[in-house]
Amino acid sequence: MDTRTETKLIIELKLGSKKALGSIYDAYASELYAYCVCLTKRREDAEEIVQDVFMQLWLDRTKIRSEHTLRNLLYIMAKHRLINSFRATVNAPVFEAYTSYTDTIISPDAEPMEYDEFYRLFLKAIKRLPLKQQKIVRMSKIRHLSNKEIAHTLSLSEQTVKNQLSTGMKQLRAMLLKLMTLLIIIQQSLILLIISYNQIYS
Amino acid sequence: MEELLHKYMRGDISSVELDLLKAKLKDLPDSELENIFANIWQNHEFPTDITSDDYVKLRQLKNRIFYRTSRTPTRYNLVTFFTAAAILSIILTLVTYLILPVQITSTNYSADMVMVQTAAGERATAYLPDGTIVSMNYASQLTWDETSFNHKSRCVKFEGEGFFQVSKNASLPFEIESGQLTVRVTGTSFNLRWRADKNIAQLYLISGSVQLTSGITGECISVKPGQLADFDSQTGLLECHDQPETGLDQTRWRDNELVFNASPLSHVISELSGSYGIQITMAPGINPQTKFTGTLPGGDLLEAMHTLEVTFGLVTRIHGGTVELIPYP
Repeated sequence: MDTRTETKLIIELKLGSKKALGSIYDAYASELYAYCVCLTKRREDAEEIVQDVFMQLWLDRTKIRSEHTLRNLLYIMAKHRLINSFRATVNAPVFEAYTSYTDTIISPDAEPMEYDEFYRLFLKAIKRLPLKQQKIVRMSKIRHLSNKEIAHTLSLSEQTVKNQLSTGMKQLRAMLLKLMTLLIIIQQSLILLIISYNQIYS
Repeated sequence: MEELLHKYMRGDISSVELDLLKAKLKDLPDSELENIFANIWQNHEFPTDITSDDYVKLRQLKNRIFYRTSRTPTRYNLVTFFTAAAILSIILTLVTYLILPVQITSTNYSADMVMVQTAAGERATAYLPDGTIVSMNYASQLTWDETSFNHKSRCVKFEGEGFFQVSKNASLPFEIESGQLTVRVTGTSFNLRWRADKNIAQLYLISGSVQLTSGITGECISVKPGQLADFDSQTGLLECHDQPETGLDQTRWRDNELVFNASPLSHVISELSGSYGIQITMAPGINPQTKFTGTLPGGDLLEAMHTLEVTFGLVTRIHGGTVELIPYP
């Protein structure tokens, strides 16, 4: 987008034009979304950030100062949430588990599943644990509470929390491993199928 | 650090590298991370490919954003109504996309047609390019052509109930087409009500002057302030009555009040169910022609139902999403 169109769009936006908002969205939303997905690895987060940014752009349109480019502006509005969500993903135990899963895939043909998908599988697997373990695993691995904090909120001893957590995680790992090998087998067989299909028909 | 980040973004970071990244991030303040991210964003140094699913999602998101920035709340009391109205008059703009593209394509309108639509239980205010404001009651629909409106003519199509505040422009008269009825004005405010399932269209004029034309008989009448005009869409007859006081009741829906004047119970029920966006049914033992005179709240269903219960000796029963009225045992 050249600077003249951009200045025009900003002026129209400040005057309350929804059409301008639409044009800005069309020009930048998909790129912003892609950037958020890259950094947060979570499509839900990315979607929320994009929505918030454009809502804010509309609501605060009168406060837009002219020295910013739209590109600049969108980033400024996104940055806090982006950084928080980025840090959360990098430090999430589930993400660590995910990286060790992607480590196991060496074959360049097999695309690893995306983190989103992995996260969903993880949540699904948690649901199969006994209730108390579910609670403790969620508090520890998703909400990042310390064992001490968990023991305090559930009025259990710290040792019980530790024990429950380790048995829970052991089971989870086993379940995830099963699910993942299954997925990898499906992926590999699909690839084989495509290859053989291509060979037959070429 | 940057290299690790790029690996992370591409999705091929190993466990060992992740640990390294974590350790580095721990000592990195947000302000510095902000700059790093800003550079990557400014220089387009990230993969931008997204899936077709994502495109669909982004389109839905756009609709959601447009919807959220132009919707009025459906339940409010007088004070919040005015605050909301004040805020909304800033937020709402000329073009109010209340509907999804899916609905546009299904009704076969060209891309230049702008349509503002409310469902049962919803209300909205449309701001037209010429400065005209239309407050719309439930289940109403306003359509105009974006390219010609305010240039060659000021024509809109309307169905449902709305309060029009038409901006003055003698050289371009404002025309509303409601089925077979055409309303022609220069600059006034009035309440227009035409529901496709009812035979009578009604217009109550507050100020200015309005000309009505029947598309069936070709008859044309002028309405003066304080007059209520009736149009029978079956016979095509137009009639005008002086009703300076009771006519105002027609506009009370804007204050969230439903006013009835010797209206049959069946009419009361259909108004209530439209206003609240719920199903209301009557047991066979109740005479739907029983007359009701009074005011029911438009924002408090229980209160409204209670009033009917007391007036007619009825009991309400709620099951599923419907409310059933049954005679008092």
